[in-house]
Amino acid sequence: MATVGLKCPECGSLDIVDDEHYSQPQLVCADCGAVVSEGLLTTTRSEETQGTDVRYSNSTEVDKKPCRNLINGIHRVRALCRILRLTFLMEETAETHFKQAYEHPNFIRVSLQKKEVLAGCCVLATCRQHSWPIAMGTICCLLEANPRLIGVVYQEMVKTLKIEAPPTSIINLLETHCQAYKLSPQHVHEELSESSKDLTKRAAVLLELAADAWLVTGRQPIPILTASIFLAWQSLKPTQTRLKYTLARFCQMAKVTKSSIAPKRVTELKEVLCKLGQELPWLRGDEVTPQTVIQMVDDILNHRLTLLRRALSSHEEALASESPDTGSVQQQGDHSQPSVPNSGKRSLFEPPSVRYAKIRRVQVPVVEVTGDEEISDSEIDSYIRTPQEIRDYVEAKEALASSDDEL
Amino acid sequence: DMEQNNSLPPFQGLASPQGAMTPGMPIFSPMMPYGSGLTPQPVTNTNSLSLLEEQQRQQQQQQQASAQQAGVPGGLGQTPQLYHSQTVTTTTLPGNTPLYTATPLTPMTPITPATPASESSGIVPQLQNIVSTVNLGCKLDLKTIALRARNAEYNPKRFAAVIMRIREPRTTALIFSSGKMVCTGAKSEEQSRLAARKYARVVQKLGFPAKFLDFKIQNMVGSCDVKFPIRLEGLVLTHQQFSSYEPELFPGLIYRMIKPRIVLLIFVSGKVVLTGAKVRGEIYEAFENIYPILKGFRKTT
Repeated sequence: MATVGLKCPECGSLDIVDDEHYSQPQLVCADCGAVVSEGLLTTTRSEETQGTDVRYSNSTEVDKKPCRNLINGIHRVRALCRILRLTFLMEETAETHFKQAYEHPNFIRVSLQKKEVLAGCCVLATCRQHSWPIAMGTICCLLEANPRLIGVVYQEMVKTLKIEAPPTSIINLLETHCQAYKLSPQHVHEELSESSKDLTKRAAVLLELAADAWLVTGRQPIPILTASIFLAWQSLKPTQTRLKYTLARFCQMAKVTKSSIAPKRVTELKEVLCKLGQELPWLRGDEVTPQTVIQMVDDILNHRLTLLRRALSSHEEALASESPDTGSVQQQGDHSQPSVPNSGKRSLFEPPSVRYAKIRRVQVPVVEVTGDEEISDSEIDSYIRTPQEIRDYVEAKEALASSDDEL
Repeated sequence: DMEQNNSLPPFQGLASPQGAMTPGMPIFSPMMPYGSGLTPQPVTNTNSLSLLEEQQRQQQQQQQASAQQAGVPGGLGQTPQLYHSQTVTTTTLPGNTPLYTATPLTPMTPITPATPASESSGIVPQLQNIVSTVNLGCKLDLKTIALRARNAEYNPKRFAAVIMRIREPRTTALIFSSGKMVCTGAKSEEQSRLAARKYARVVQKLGFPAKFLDFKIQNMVGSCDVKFPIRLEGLVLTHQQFSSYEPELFPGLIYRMIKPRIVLLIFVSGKVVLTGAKVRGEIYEAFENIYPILKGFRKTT
């Protein structure tokens, strides 16, 4: 029986069967042969593609016509390569990676969102293999995707395809990042303009200084790049006009997205410059503040090596004079300071995470147990509710539930 | 019964091969694809900071050697940046055509004085978390457990298990209706076992015929501090096949050691987290493997 409850209008029989007449589906009465109803002779295209019994992935169509998402993905890869103006060779490499990854069992059944992100990750890996400087943040912006998702898919892809893609070093990123800043005379006032080349050169030296002073390792690259470029711009022509510019205003002028972290990096970098600036002999020990240091950046950077040497020796002298005095204090204070200070602390520059170390929760001393001790009943009973407690709990729950119902 | 692995002393006995020792390479990882580890690796980034640090380190070595002969006071050893900086300011900046430049430079192994084979780090990683599982051997009614136990929470819409906590050892357990249980938060294998037994006793007292079958430690996490800052950018270049360092995603370097099979999180401050161990010895072994490598990236400014 094809359908329940259907009655033949001619003879009244309930025996209706599915009997197709060539390609036309028909419902026919088994007793008198009357056609009860019939379907359409032709089918629409969507019915043909979606109404099939066999899944696309199990049919032979897979070999004849590549998956639509694969084609879309390849188009996306090509589009990204064109936007980034990559070479033809890189475009081909990225496409190859994408095809391989897409068809790999690890990726063939992931969500569409991940497949979209996969396209960007292939481009990223290709750029890294060819030493083309690009930040993951750029891919994030282009794909408008979550950075975490990109990270997950990227690492999975690199592992699956066994690609070796060394991460871009920050100095290489600097030049591409610098070009985004619109500071040429046609964009801004002449007094505020700066050529990309000069800016990059100065910012590179500042960046290198920052890296040496542990401001770069382990941190997001873009904010420190922004900070370096900002300070480079200020120090190349330290006029009052430029010095009055805050980082936010500078980013607005240069038509670059501002970040909340970059101002902190500016402060840190200025601190480093102050430490070196302090050693300039013609200052004769005058204090160098973050406000006054910008004018001296030129001198500081030109005589960096000497200043560094001097700063190190004066730092050592300061430590040496400190330690005989604090030696006795240390002994008393030892039990409050269970940890030996990091050797980074004794140097002139140390990673900020060391200098501003989080105060550790007091470690509970590890009790030595064998694992086979006797477990006292009273201890276990303390974890079990008394019958009264259970009654109270149930009543309270019912009371809550009924008051919720009333609401 | 539990595996009796908790009495191993910190890993010291595995001496590295005498003679040509390259501290840059993980000593106990024979599965490295580069053979003996002395194969020069092609370098694609000619202008990276860490690469120049490599050159500078070599220069520093040579300088130190000659300085010692000349009797110059040890100032040179403390200002490595002098040579480093000089090379940077005279090289050209990255050009507009970043082509694939493969210039095999000198071997990528950091050329620092080799540490004597028998010297151990003297630092012992502290265990921070142990995850273990046990089978209580009977089906459980989670609603009853949640109702009758003081220290239990059960929210079936969120998670299909009862979350129970005890004070000593301070741990948390996930108890499933199948009778399987996961115990987390203990600081040693014995503590984990004691805690798991206590949870089983609580379930017994609540009226279920709980047993204590197939107790197994599934994961151990340890941490320690090498007490010097580390150049992660350099480490990821020389140990590319094991490391993943993406500052845009995570501030630490993820090092996947092959032997033993441990994942290490290495941070710029010198703190190291080791995880993935089934026995305590793997954590100690992994740390003894990584310590000489990290020392090679020790930087004094």
